[in-house]
Amino acid sequence: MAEEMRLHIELQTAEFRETGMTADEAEMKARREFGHMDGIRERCRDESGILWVSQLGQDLRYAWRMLARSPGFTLAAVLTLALGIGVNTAIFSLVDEILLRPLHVTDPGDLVLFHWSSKVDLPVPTSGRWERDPVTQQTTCTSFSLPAFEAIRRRNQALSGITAFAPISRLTVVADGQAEVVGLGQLVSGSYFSVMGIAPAAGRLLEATDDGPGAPGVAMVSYGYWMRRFGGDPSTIGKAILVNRVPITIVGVVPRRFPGSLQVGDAPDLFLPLVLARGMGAFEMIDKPDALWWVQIIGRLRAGMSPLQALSELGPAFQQSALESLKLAGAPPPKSPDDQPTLKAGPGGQGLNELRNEYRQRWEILTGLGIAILAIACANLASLLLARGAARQREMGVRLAMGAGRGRIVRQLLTESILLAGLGGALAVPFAVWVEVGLVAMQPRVEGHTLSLVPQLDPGVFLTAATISVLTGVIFGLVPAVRASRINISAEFQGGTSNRAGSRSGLGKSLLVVQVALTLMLLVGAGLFAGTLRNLASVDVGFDSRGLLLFHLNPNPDGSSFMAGLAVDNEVAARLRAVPGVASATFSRMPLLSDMGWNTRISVVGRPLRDDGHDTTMVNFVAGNFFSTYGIPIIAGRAVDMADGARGGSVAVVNQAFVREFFGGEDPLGRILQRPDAGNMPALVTVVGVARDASYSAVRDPAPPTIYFPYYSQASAKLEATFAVRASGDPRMLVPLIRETVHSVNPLLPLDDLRTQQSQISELSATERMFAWLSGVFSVLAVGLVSLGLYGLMSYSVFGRQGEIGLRIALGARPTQVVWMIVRECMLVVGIGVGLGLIGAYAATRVVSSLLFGLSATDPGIFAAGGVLLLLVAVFAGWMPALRAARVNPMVALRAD
Amino acid sequence: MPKDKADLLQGTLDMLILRSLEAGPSHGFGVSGVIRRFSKDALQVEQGSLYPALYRLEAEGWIRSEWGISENNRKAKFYELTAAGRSQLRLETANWARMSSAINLVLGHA
Repeated sequence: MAEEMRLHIELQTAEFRETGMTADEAEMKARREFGHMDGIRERCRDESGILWVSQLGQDLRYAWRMLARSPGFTLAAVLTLALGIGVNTAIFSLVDEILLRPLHVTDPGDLVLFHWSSKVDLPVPTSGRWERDPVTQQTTCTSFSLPAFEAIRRRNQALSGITAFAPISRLTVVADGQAEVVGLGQLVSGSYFSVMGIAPAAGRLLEATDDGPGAPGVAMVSYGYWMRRFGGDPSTIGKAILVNRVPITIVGVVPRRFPGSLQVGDAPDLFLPLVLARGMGAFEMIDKPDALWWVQIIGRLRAGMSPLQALSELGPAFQQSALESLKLAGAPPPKSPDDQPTLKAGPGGQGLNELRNEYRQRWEILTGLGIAILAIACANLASLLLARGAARQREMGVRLAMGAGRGRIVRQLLTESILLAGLGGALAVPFAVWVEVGLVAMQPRVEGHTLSLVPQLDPGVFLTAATISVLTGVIFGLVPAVRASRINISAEFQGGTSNRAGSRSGLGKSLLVVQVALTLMLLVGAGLFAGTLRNLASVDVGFDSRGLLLFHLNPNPDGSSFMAGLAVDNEVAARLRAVPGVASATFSRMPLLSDMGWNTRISVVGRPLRDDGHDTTMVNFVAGNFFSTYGIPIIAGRAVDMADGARGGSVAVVNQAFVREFFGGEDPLGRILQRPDAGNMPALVTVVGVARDASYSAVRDPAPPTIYFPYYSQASAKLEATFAVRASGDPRMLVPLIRETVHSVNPLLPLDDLRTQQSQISELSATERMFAWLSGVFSVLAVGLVSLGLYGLMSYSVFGRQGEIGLRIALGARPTQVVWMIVRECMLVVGIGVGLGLIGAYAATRVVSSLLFGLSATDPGIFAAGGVLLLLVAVFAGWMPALRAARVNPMVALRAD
Repeated sequence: MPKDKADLLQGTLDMLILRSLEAGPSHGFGVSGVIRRFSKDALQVEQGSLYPALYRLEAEGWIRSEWGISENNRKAKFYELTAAGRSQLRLETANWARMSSAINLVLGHA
């Protein structure tokens, strides 16, 4: 185009020269007549739609230059976008994965998970989770007995397949001469994989023939385990290993995206046939395995069948089997049909659900945090853009005067906003990955294995968050453009910056108010969680938790030789006590404060059995030196020790809460207790000692009634033991010594889960810590953003009000008065925001009140502190602009107006 | 510089440009010269209107452009009427005739 116009001028010049002008005159006249080239060029560009591609390129280059020219703004805007989009993508992707996404199997919608419910607790031993609805008093449980499964399977017509499965934890695996503990495995019946409808990643699936009695032991490994332990070696298929001392051949690898059908986040590393359960020591009672309710049942509906149809078919078979179980357990039959357990079915597409429901609250809070961050980010971005747009009004005016089309200007600003959005979105992706990995890492461990999630970024979530942010950027980027296209050019050039600041910053002020409100809510949240953590840490747990190292041993995982296993435990404890640096060592069945528990019903001989739910006590089996190692004082009688076995008769130590609950404060020494349920603990016990109260499985609750049996008196064959070692010096020095000691007793005995007692206790508050950390970080960021926003707003306000300020000073206002005027405006904005924020926080903190400890969700101290902090921020942010206002030279200001 | 002066004027300019290209391809300078000469210096098209109009006509598809060599041996963009342009020109000429006779009638009777 430039060429074209140059030619035109040349030809015109030539023409003029023919009329007799000089060369210079001719050229000048030609140029003058032509008019303003740039303006004409712009309009030509406007007219020709074909050139829009090159226009876009031009716009992008120009946008890039403009953004580079104000690096502070660009950096702030891009970071804000990355923060808002990234955090939300991470949170919502995780929520989707944990709460919403079904298993990666064929048609997960056709799967049904069975459970039963009854008005009374079934007096049969159950493992797994059960829930009681406080409203309807119905107990729901997903665990069934093997005979019940058989009964259902025999009757089944409505389902194309039905399968049973159960978790099995802490498997000792010996492969290639190396022993290790695998945290979680899954026992599955023969039809499991055909019901799930998946194909193996390598090798073959477990089939019905693998699940028969006498079938050779086989197993599938998870993809992760295949990679970790065997390096993805294809020769793993067909490899012979030992699992809990049972010879097993690995026949296949489960696909990567299929983590079994257990609780959310549980990803078993081994899949074994159900028939091996007993040989592996999967349950405590080996004398009456049919009486234990321990498997979960999933089925796949045939096409066109509904769960109700399946229930009507299978329900009666189940009930019959349940009644037989009751007879087997020696329990009386239910009095009314209402008390009978009823078969129910729910969607099975996500596997087991109970943990998911527990997680739900946690993730709802996280979702709330994410939305708050997105709102703050969008508000901040908007105010950044508005401030920038306001500062560029003059530039807009000039460009309009030079002939730029209004449409062109709007398009250019739009391109800037989109470029900004693109940069922010690109940065958001790695940020989101980082946040998601961090969030998963912050989740607490459950029973020794961590939450196994493959952090995935859901593209749909990313797009949604990105779209919201981009829309914000576009809308608020366009506001100055729209304003610019309506400005009166001459008015702009005549100055008149006064009277503009007031109305212009109305929008900016409201955005800041919103930001301040949200920031206050985050601050309050952070304060509440920090306070909770502090309160939790200061609870007296009843024993000395410092300097204690814990680890887990399973000397006879297959339940074969009780005495041999016990001997191993004793040997390890004895050798540990001899290690220099060890003050004392002991072991017990249950670790303290690990979120695991074992309870049983008990009664005092001579007192009636209580029926009102107050007949339960927590249980532990402890070895010698238990009380001294943990630092639990015995306040009456004596502790149990290894000599008690030789003396015969069953003894136990109870704690003070037990005495209060079951003896009403009377002296319990010498009294006899009785256990009404059959099982693996002694039926009659004599109380020989009283220990001081110690927390059992939760720091938040007061110590429950607890009974301590001697370790060997458990009739169970499973000898899992948690060892506790008290260090006389630094516990960390003992770690290699402990490993050596265990290795010296049995090189093939893996030592599992070495940790300190204190880290185990802090695991319990992992959720609260996560929220404290997140809300703390977010509120710091939010305060920073708000400060910047206030600073910018006040600076612009001062700039706009220069005339007014100059007038006031000229009329005799003192500097302090001027400063106060500006600061007051700032505090007003923040004050309104704080007010709104207080109301919002009051409403919102109800949601987290169940997570708090030791303070209420409306703790006035924290609310007040948050408000005061923000008001201080207001003063601080407004200070510099206020000082500048005070230094305004009235002469200069008035002339500039 | 307001662009929203009567569209009537803009349409008329388009028509004149198309007409001047009917005889054969020309560059922008040539077109303005043709219009000036044929109108006996009555109509002098501003460059500020001419070139945007040329680009607009090209966008509409009524003319097309090609680079060539001008009379003084410079690179120049030559515009040429397309078939669609020809029919547009006939349309606009007919419109103009109708319009101007209608106006004349009114003026004659006022």
